[in-house]
Amino acid sequence: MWMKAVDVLETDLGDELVLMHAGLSEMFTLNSAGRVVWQALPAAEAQLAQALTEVFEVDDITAAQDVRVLLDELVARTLVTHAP
Amino acid sequence: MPPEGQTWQSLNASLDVASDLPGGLQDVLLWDWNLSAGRPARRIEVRAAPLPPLPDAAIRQRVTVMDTPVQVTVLADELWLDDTLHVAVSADHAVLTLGGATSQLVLAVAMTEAHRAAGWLPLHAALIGGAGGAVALLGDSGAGKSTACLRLHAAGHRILAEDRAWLSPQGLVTGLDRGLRAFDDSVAHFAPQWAEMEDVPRDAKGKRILPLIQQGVLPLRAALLLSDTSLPQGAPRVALAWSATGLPLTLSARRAAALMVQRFVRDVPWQGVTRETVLAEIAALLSEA
Repeated sequence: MWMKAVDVLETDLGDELVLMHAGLSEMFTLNSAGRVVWQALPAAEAQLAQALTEVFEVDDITAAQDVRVLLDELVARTLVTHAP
Repeated sequence: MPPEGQTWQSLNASLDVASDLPGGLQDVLLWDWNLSAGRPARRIEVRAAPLPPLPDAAIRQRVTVMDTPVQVTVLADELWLDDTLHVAVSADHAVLTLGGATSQLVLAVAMTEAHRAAGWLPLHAALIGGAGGAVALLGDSGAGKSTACLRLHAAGHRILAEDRAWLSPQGLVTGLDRGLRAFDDSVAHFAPQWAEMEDVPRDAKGKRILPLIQQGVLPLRAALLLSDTSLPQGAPRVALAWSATGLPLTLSARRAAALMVQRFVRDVPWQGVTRETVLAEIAALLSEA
């Protein structure tokens, strides 16, 4: 299960969602696809990919790849946590 | 609160202050925080007592506040600051427990957190008021906010705050400054009537504290950034807003502040001004308000 880190401060600007890690003061911007994934949290990785396919015209494999890339970035910035 | 304690008001909170606080901090609260904004709708208690023990699960960190390191321990809506002050916050009630030689800075961090948890957003900004509202003037330290305030005051505008502005959840702004601080050369240029007065107090940096602030609560009409660079958009503007307000520490304060920053960035009109244009732009905005 993927979850938002407790230190994340969200600012929704409409066309983009800005995340800031309160402890590190680093900003990260999500586009519309990233917003869909973010707002589906907490969820399993497969559920996040499904959320993408429900909103965008994208096949399951591409959605899964996009989710993996995004999660890797969010993990690197300690914006999400994972619990088995 | 002991029966001999005092009850004041800080923004829209009833401020119940015990009389046995260490180190003259009652006077600090009276001077720095006893300014009202509307009817009291919540409560802040300040008392002297042993601090609750630090839980093992708490996260300890060192943060820098006003160039001074402060040891911060956070557990959800509880904070331990420098092991001398504990604060427990919620939207409608905060309890500050002073357990030792608490510094003014640590007390300010705790009071700020108590107000943040109730949805108030602090802003390092000047506030200039007009008949129908106020504008917030933001800018880095040294950008010229204080001098702009002196010039605006000389031009007949009402200065609500020089640096300690607060934005309410209802979109109203007020200030917690007691005076307008300025160096001697700015005073000599823009408020010469005060330049020769010897009994004007000074702050730690040697600035004169001029009694030119007028209290008030007004709707916020615009945010102006005083800078020679262009006004940032999108995520950089969000970063600017967080820089202007500072980072909240407790869970409730973070949630409330994130919502307020979003409103501040999205719903308030922003505009860039320079030292050359600031007077004319503010005069135009206040005449429209």
